[in-house]
Amino acid sequence: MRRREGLAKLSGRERYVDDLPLDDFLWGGTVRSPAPRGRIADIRFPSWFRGAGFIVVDHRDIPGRNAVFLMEDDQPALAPGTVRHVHEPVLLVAHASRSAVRRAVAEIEVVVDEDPAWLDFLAPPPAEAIQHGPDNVFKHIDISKGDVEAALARAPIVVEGEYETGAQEHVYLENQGMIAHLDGETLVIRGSMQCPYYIVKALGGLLGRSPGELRVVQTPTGGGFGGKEEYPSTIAAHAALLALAAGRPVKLVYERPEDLAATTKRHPSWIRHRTGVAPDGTLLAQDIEVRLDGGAYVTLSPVVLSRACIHAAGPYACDHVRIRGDAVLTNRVPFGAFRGFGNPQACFAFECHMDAIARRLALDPAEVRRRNLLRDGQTTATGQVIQDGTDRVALLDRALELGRVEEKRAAHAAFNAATADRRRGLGVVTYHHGAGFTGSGEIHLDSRVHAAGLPDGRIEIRAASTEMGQGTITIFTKLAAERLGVAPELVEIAPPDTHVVPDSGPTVASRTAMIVGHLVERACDDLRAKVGLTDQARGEIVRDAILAWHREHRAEAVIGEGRYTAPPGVEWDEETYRGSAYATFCWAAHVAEIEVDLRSYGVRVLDYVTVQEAGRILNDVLARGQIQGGVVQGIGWALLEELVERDGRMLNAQLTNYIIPTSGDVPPIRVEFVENPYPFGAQGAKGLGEFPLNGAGPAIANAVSAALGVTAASIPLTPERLMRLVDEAGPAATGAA
Amino acid sequence: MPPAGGRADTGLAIEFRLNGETCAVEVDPAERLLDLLRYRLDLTGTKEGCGEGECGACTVYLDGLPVDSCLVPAYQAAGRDVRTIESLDEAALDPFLRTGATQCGACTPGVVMTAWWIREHPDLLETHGVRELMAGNLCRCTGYDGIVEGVEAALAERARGAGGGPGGSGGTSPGARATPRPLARAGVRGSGAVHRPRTLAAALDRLAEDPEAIPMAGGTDLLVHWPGHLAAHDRDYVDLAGIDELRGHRWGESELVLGGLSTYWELIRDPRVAREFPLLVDAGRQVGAVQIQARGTWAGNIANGSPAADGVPVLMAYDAVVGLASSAGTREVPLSDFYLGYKRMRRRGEELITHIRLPRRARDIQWFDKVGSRAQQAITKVGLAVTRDAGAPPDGGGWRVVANSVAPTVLRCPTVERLLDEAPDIDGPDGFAEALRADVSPIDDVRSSAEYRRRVLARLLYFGLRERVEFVT
Repeated sequence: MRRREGLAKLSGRERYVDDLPLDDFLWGGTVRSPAPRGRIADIRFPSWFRGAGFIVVDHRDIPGRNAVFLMEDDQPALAPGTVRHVHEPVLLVAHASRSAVRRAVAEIEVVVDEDPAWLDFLAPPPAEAIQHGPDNVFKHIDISKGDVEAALARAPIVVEGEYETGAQEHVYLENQGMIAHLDGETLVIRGSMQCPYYIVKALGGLLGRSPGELRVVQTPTGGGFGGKEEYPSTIAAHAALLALAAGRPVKLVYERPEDLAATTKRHPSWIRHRTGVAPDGTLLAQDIEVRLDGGAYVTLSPVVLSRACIHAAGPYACDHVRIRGDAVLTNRVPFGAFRGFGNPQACFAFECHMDAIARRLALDPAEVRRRNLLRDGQTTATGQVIQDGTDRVALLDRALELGRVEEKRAAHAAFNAATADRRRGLGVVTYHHGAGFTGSGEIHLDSRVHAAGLPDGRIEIRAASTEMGQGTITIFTKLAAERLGVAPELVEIAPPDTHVVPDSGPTVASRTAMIVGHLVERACDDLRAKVGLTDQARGEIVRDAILAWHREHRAEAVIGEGRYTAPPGVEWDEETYRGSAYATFCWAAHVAEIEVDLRSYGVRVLDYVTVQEAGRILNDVLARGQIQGGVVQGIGWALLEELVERDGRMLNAQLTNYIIPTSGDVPPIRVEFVENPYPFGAQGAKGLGEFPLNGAGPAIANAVSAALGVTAASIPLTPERLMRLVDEAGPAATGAA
Repeated sequence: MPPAGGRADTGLAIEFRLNGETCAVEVDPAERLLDLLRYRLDLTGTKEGCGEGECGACTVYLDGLPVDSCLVPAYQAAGRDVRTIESLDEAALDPFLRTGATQCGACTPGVVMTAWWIREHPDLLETHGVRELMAGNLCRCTGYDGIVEGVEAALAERARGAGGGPGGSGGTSPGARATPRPLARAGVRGSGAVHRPRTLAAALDRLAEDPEAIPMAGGTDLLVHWPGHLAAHDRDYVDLAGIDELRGHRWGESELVLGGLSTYWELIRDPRVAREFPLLVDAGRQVGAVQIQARGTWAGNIANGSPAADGVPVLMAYDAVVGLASSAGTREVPLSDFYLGYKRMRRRGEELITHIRLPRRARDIQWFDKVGSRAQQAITKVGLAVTRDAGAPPDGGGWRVVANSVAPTVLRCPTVERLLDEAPDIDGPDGFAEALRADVSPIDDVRSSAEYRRRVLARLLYFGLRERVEFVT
């Protein structure tokens, strides 16, 4: 099946939030803190401002609790007198003229009496830098299996390594934006978002409104990648406050520089591995420390840290594992959800470290992985027994074969010896990604999906799961149509509108096809039962039964419901971090081939191969697109994308200077799926949206290390950073040249 | 400063072809074509992704070439043919659907505009690859494979004679509003004025009267992040777009003369330029992407005065001479003598660059290296253009070594040139370090570091010469 809304997008018909017809509205704007920490001493308005017809809102205009509720309520919607990061929202303005708003935002001066800002997440904070709890630690996690200290003491060889990754901006091509207006007593929020019900929850307390008085509607969303998971709640709050003050609709649409500078990014990380190994490469003990920079407020850092820690030991078997993690406060713009959600950082560290182990032992990096990859019946660091029938070694071997690794290694050796100004290398990685929410998360979500039988015999799927490019509409259509044996045209997907659709949970964690899709199927089953059919009924008979039901029940609705129940055997202890962290994992192996230009220290990716097992593939074109897009986003993170900051302020908040890959920067991404249906996912699917990104960072870094004989342990591997790395390695890195 | 501009009467009446229909509208001097299309004509298929000519989501056709409408002043549409995504026949876009060329859809209309232009001009592929031509359209979802395959599928359909072209007067999407929304609806307003002379003489008269006025050619520098550059909205401009005398390049017996409005794309597509002045094509192809190359002018690149300008080094390496005119007369200044300091140059406010003269001479060595922050569409971190005059006397004087992004201006490196004349044995990049120290003075900035720039420049010189001369080994 082709992407259902595809032609509307290709032809430009699809209307995003800034495209919607809207009359008699005001443009909103956000006045932000110029300083990373301090007390707001004054707000100075330009002389022309008073009497110019602006609506102005600050924290005193918030009717309820001044917090954008997410996991904790520490983050104010508008700074209440103190600020904790540059660009923290202080004041809102609205005016009919967008130019007027721009001038006001540029010329209203927020004067801050600065306190010392704390910007280093690796150093222990001094007393005057403490702003959260006793130690600025948002969340601490301990995972323990076996006896690491004893095993390390016994191990013949211990390999240590420290790995760092930088912040990454999502760069969804559609900037963030919201429209708020009153419809009678109901406040309506429309905009670009992943999670409509997050906004209902965040605004309920802030505005003192019940879900009935607050209607949130997702508009077609031009990319999210996690960047539209939590941040839209803040923009929705701002648009709502302005609209309530103005009594008119307010549109608050960010322009790119503001979006780049002020919204969340991927958490910077530092991870240390100390690994006991046998001479043959067998892992004997893994001692791992994980540290994430959370930025100025808690946001989602605890759960990002959780996913990072759970994955930190890699897809490998080891009897003695200790993982300790901290997410800490700094006075930087808060970091948030981003595709992979902590695992890309974890994966970067463990996969670079596997290569470090191979180098230390003079073994083939693929062989070290082959030796340690989890076999069915073995357990992860949390004690989860892996028993899914996937042959992880075969995945790796298939990737090596597709990447022609053996042949290319020999060719590279010859090339590197014969070429003065270029070096080639290969990087191999294997990794995993837990699909769906961590631990008991899915049970707490209690997600629901409705399948309504419409009076004309069509079926409408109602879920809060959003389409942001990943294919929700197409996948839900396929699942419902095939479940009921009807033509896809008979299936409608209701736009996510919290007054119409039930809460099917947030559109995050690669859970939509696998988990919510399964609820779509159950809702279809329930609908079938409600119109008097058995689960075997398919095709015309279903439509006829819906039509017949409506003939007998005029003006009534018939709605089937699917509600989440945990698969058997999935048990998780949130206190001890023991048990089944995820209902299931996806598995992957990547091979990257790169060339370093020794004139400029630039890295070009020559070839990229991915082989993955993500359950059953529901739509080949969509799935392939997820893998290719994820890999390229990972290549950007590995090579190009660097947040340049001074005093907590992003200096390169333009797409000219925050660089993402173009079509000319990447080769074709070769994709192969190995299908192993997962019995509790829709049609056997597992979630695959996030995990392709994880592998690219370490695959590229390992390839660079191989090409130059260096240890690339930090990304982005910008040419400037690579130059220093080559310097440190000395002439060995580049040969005679 | 008043919030919405101080002029009572700001509108400029223009008329242009829009998707095959005549569109007459009053525009604000500070309004971009993108704002006009989206906010006043309701053609919302054209998206804004960055406002700096980087992402290509706002790509439209201007006289048949893809351009970033965020970098086009609305008044420059006057008298021209503008086509938007709404003019394409939806049914013909099926190949892009099949290959997965769209995911979130925000970049998609711009992607489709460039892709469709390639489909309509398959001869482009004789000199360019699809990935190079698409590099001005950023996509964060697909990883580009679905897009590249979509272009290939569309080309294959065209070759088979299948698939319709853009519908004559409009595609299958909703058309523009018959009555444009009022100016107040424009996203951007200012208090500056725009003068639109039709002749060079009129333009020079205007500049004589107001030497503070800024000449506007392709707009690819001036309009970057335009909505946020509030002070720029209150300045006065002289639009050069209507001055036909400045268009086109011509060949003389001993010289190539570029017009004041010659664009990168114009030279890239001239096979004779590729033969005789190949570095102009090399450099031109690395200025932004096609959308920028179609609009950006060589003279504008000179006049903008950026140390990172990509057009200037190759012009300088070809001994370009800048032709300047004012209402008081004309004069010529060698390009290598044109700059006085950062963004300071010999062009006076009342002068325009009317032409650029390039002597036709045989070169036995010539190359251009650009090191940007990525492979395509990047601002230069270090750049180098080198030529050697084949007819130069044996004792030297034939080398031109020009560097950009390593000093307050693009500049020749005389110490390096003298060193090359001496042809000493050089066996590594360090052999150029001392000479370069005398010539360049790079800085740390948001894109790179002084150390990187200095060292990479030496490496570009070393490895480039190593392939070309015997004294470098």
